[in-house]
Amino acid sequence: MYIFAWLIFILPLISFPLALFIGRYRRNLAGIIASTMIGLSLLFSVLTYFEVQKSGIIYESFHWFSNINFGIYVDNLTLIMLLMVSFVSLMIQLFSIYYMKDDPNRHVYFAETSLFTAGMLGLVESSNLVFFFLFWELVGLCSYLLIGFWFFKPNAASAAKKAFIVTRVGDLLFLIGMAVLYTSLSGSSLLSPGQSPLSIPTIINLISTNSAGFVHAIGSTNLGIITLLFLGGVAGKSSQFPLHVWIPDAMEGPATVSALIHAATMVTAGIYLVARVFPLYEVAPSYSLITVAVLGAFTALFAGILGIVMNDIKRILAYSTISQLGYMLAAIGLSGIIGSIGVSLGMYHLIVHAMFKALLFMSAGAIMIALMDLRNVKEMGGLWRKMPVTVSLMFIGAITLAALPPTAAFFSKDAIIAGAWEYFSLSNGSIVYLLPWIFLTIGAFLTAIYTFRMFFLVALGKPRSHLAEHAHDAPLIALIPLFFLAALSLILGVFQGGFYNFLYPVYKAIDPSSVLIYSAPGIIQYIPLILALFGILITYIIYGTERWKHMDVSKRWFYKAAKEKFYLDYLFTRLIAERTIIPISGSIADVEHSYNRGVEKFGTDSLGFGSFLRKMQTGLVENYFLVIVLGMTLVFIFLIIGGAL
Amino acid sequence: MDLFLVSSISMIIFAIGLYGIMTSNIGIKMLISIEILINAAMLNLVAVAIDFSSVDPLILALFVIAIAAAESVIGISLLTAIYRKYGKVSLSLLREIRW
Repeated sequence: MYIFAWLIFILPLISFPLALFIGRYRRNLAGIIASTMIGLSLLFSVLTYFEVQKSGIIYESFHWFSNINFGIYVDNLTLIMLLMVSFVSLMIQLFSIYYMKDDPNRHVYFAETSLFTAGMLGLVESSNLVFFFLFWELVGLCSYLLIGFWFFKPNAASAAKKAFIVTRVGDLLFLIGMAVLYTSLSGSSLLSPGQSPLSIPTIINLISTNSAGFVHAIGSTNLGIITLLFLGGVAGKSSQFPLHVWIPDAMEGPATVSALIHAATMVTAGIYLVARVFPLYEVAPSYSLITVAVLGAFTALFAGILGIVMNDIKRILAYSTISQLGYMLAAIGLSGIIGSIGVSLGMYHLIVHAMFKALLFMSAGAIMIALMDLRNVKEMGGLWRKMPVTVSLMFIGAITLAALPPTAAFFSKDAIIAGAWEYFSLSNGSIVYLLPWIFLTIGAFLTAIYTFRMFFLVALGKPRSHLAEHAHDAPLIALIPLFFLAALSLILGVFQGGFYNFLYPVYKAIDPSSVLIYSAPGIIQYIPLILALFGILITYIIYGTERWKHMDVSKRWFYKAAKEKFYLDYLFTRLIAERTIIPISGSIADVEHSYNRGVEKFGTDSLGFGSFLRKMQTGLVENYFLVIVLGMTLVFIFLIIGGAL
Repeated sequence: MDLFLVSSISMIIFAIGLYGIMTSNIGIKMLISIEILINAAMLNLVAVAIDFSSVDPLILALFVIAIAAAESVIGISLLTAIYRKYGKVSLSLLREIRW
């Protein structure tokens, strides 16, 4: 048994009560405890990396109940996630010590972030979908706690509830998908006794050894249903198109929480789920992977449009997260045609995204601290001169997000777009297969626009508010984690090929084609970059100067619709929640009420009958004798009538 | 000996016992009445044994004698305890056991 692999998620779990109780008496110790524990997790992740390289996949499990085993499964995909989650979480924890230094409840904050990280690490390592789901819910719970960390703000409280409820919709779909998988596989002869149908290694092995038998055992339609239901869970957690509405509101929590949710935990869990159970998608009917690709690509486009009209610095970043998650999901969906390399493309973008998104959120957090929680970018301006270090770090994050050449995202995102073109050219030429490429390319254009709109508004021009005039850099020591992340955002592109090769063995059993980094032909290859540069040019012309102040687009219908988030919130709360769900649950509550009243009535009736029976116990011996004699007489009478005597 | 005659005597004795139980409230008297009831039943058993020339009812009768002895021991000790507490053995004192 390889204990270090277990400790990776157990240590932050231990630090949850420790930080909470020690932190109650020594506020400043809480951050140190949490950081130390996650630092140890990072160390053990590295040790586990070497262990896996030396002696292969780690799979250890204990019997839990029935045929559900609790265990860990560490392969190359898990390792990448482990290293990324523990590293980015450590950076965020270290920055949080500075960011939360004045909060009276910071011990609670550090306890909850530890639990958050523990949930994510446990999710990554789980060998069983049931445990995967448990940790998945733990992450959801922590997001609820942390988004509502400043619960005295009504916005934060309602945002926390919204995040919890919206992701719950997805979780329900995921749970149903697991139930379908369990019922359709549990009776099959493919499983030896005691083997769980929900165990991830079991599924992977079954598919790799006997995929035709597996499809036959489950049934093609069922596989489609399972994968689509899982996709529903992913849509909730990773905020894909219809269920993305919780993410912008989740910005009410501390900026470091946003960094944690958006970079290392929570939203990447959904992408990881698809990558983890990718063998299921591989053997499922082709429409499920097409759905994944089109949904992801559409989300990338859709969130990009919304990102342009936002003025809140963190909400712009939130929409960019949704958009980037769309890229990852689309990349995985592309695997339907271009082979399992698509998953590697998505995972690579996930890792790169984690670095620069954590960087962007934390630099936004540093700016917000300097500006007394000011979040409207239109009231900032000129910050590059006022706080050069922070804004330079943000610039690195911005060019990475916009995928300009030397940065890591240039490699990861352009590989996805090239893959999308490959997807189209290898398909039968139907328009559906072209959709991901169109969406993702326009998405790249939009990414550049919203990123640099935000950046130019923050960094250039003259300070547009009193607060912005008096901003100062954070102490350099607090920004050290940001330097690490910025460096990684810049240089991670070097590892592209090695990364794909590293991840490849995970899916090798399914798809024997060799690792390919796609490059689209000729001019197509340069379209995303040209569009991105063009977008930056436009935004510089408009937002690099004061020109935007003279523009009034608020009358345009499209702007209004985008500002209202295309009325999706309206649809969800007014129509679905208030008009549909509440009446239905009201009538269900009525039924339940009458049922409860019936139960209660039965209880009181029984009590009444009991108190009547109790009266028979008079305590008078004569009465008892009388009853005995009467009874005997009756018995005799019956016997005589019956002719027995 | 006629079985009918013995049974009739047994029935009379039983009726006397029943009357004693139902009319009295004194513990000792009731205990004696119960003994009378038991003896009536045993008389019947013995008569049946002789009439059918079988030993089984006699064995039964022996058991009943033993049980009756034990029962009266328990009864007497309970009554003694009641007497210690209340100074009388009237069973209507024991109404606290009811609802």
